[in-house]
Amino acid sequence: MQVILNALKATYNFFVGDVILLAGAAVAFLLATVFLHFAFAPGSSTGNILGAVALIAFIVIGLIATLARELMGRK
Amino acid sequence: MTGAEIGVLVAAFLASAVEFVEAFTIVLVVGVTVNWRSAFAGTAAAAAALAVIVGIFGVALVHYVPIEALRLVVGVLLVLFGLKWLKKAIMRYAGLKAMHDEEAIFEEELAEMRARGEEPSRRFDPFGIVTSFKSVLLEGLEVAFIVITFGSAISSGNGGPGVGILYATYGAIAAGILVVVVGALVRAPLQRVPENTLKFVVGIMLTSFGTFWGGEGLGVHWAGEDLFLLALIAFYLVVSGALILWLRQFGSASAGKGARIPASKPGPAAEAAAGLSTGEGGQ
Repeated sequence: MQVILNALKATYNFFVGDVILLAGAAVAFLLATVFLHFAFAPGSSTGNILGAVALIAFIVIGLIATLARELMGRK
Repeated sequence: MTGAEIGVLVAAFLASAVEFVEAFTIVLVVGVTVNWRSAFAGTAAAAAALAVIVGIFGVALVHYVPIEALRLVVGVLLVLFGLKWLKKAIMRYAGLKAMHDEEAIFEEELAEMRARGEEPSRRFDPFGIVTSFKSVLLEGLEVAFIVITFGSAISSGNGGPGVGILYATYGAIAAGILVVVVGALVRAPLQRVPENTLKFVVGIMLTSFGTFWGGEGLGVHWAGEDLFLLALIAFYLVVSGALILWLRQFGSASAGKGARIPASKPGPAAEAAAGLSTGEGGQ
């Protein structure tokens, strides 16, 4: 059991290592999926634009949030 | 050679060149920031995987390999890798995190590794291997798709089946050789760039490529297609620059205790070894 947990932890640290970045990326890709495939007709230009904007915006928000957390930890 | 065959050759050359540049960019930055052994190992493994995939599926490849799903997975992983590098590079530029004293770390680690009988430059780095592997595999598959689809367009009725694919393959091979030659020429100047600058650039590149491929995997149609990558790179550069300026006002007071600020610019071997020995390869 411990070996599995260690392996999971090592995998998480290797691929992500930062829960805020992971959350930001997850929200970015989920929202983009919603805009591209569910909120609007597939292939619509509005869905495409909103999907692309959501993807980029939440990736940036994740980066800002994790940097802000680092800053808070130092104050 | 007919006009159609020349057209296929040129089109395959140009389209493949774009894909080779994308793959080579990632291999280049892994080679410079982690080490060349890991970059080449990942590239060789991807080339072997590609050979097996193409060998098994042949021209039916375009029907069996879910390229969109592959783009999405690779895109998500590159975004996560890229953001980690970018975060640390921004913090170092802002003074929130100490710069590495690469020479000191290198000498220290080198002595320890020699005491253990290890040769630092021969150590494989998982991050370097995985990053090179997935980029080369994805772009290699895209080149295979280009060759098959462009080549198939003139295969019927112009010299028999396979002629178009043959000329498309020539175009792709020429593009690959050109990109590798140009890349080899820019490798040396790149190795003289300071470590944090390289990591900052790598972070920007991985995040941009990840956003682009991940978006394509989801079904985003980027304006200008592959040219949109340049817009993404510019956007992330501007955002990161703004974040550095914002964080700098808090940085100088809280730079890590015991921080070792570099007294001189480290050499490439020191950078590579420090990236390995401090585990920064995956950071």
